[in-house]
Amino acid sequence: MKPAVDQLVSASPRALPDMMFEASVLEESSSRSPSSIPESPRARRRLREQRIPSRMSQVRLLDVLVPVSLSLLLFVALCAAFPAAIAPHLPTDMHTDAILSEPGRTYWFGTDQFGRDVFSLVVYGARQSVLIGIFSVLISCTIGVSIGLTAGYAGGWLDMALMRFIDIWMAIPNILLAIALSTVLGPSLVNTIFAISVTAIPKYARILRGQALLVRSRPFIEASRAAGASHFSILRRHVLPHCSVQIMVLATLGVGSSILIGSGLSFLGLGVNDERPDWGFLLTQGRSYLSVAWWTVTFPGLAITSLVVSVNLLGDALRRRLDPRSAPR
Amino acid sequence: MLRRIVERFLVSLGVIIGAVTLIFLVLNWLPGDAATLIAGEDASPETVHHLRVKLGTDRPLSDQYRSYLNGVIHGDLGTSYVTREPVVRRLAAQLPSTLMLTFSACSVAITLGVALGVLSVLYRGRWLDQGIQALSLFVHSMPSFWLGMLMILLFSVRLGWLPVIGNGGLLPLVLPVATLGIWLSVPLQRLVRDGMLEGLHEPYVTTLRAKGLGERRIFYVHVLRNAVTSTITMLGVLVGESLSNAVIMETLFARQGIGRTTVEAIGQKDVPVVQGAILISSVAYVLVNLLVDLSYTLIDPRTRLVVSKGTR
Repeated sequence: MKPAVDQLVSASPRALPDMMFEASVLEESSSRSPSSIPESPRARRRLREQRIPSRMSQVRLLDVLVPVSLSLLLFVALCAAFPAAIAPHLPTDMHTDAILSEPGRTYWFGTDQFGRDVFSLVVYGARQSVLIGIFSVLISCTIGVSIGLTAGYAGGWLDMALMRFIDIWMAIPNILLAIALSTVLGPSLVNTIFAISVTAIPKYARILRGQALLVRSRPFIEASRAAGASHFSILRRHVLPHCSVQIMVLATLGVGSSILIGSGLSFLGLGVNDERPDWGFLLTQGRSYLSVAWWTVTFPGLAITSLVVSVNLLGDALRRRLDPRSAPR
Repeated sequence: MLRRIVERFLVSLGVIIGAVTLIFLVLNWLPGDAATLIAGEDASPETVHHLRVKLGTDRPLSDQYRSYLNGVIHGDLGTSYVTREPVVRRLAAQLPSTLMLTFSACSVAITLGVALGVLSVLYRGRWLDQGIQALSLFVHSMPSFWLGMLMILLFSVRLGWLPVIGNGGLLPLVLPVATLGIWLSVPLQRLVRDGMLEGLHEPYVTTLRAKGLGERRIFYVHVLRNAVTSTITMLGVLVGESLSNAVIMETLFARQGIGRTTVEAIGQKDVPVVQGAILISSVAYVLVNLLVDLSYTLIDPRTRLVVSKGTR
């Protein structure tokens, strides 16, 4: 154990706003020795010239990126809800006179090997990814958070048993577990969502258990226990709200990784492939025509990536805003 | 120390047995009956029943589980439903290819991750750092197979430098390894960057400065070493991710390997092969984590004092 004073000293700079702290350290060290932070001379010169804390530029960049990603998410949501209003063609329309035609004025993203409009396919494919992202996170987050909070709060044998089970769960690499589950359950949207949720649960459980362990030792928990609150109501009314920031951030970032795993599953042919192929399956189909039609794989992939980038940016922004201390610098 | 090793070893063994059980339970819920599938649609009920007896799927689940576990202990993973070949032999033939892919990809990921992490600390806040950060956000949000397709488009289709598919020689290995390596380097780059930025403010750096050590030496020897050591904990995750993604890479680049065998076996409802492949990946993952755990106690003396309870 560190002495309390030691902890205080090491913690004190953190109490300052990060930005100020870093700036002061940079200045301090550069005044102390000429070769302050040992980088290439050019970068060093720049640093000295610049003096403005680097955080500034990042914050400004984020300020621009967050509205951009929000509007992109809104657009994807609209595509998922009303594809017919946005797509110029039906996903089943086969323009046999324009097979594999390049992106142009009539077909913005080109056409695929059946002469289907790639832009319309991408618009119609949005719904699956959105549903997978939202529902698998809802399921895995609810179950994972319950397991984690229970284990961390209860401690003792229950914690031990639950965490050993989580260890075993995590020992199976996640895509392989999702593959096994969706093979067993058969291809359907609900099953895909279920398979993805199951693989994501341990992550939430692990992190939330750690949080619950921290909260558990707080005096107000003991106080509410003394006041006669039941364990369940303590968990719900005190422990859970204390972890809500972490849960929100984790869930937002989880949407991105669920969409990625979902697209991987349908790339392997384990998704739903009706007349509305999702983005992962569009990539599988486009792969065969890679050498002649770059557009058949580029645009669906871009759709997945920009959706996930937006979600991740939002998660990062959320973390910075709500939980500045754990934010990556 | 020895006690700790034995303890960790036993825990890992328990996890492996648990994982075997879990995989067995998941895969044997199969609603589609393998016997019906193999016999064909127009097979008579007698044939199907006969086949079921032959495959051993007519026995109660607990019975099947007991004999499967018994087989696993003796190094027997059953026989393939389709080729009637021992699963162990079939997978052993595919193992070198997958190991080659994952091992090289992990090496690329570590090299690239550390290099980019150091670069972005050096050029912290400048365009290079921002560029690396933006790129890593982008790559992190890509499906690994799309990154692979873009690489194919650029290096095989546009430039014609590298072959897309194939197994012989080193040349076909370049694209899958590069794809997987780049994709996996992102979390490492972040870890190294955060670790070094944190490390620069640690009290020991002040001590080193007070001792009169040059900044260059402090940075490259002490701070970097601590940051790189912390990436060792990521090694387990890295191996798990690369084994997972080997399935996708092998499918995309039409390479031989355990992943591709798994995907094929899934199509044929060849349960023993799928089961064996997932089992091998899980065992590899658990073993790497065990090694990481043990090596950490050697590398970082502080962890020897910490009781493993509670902290993990």
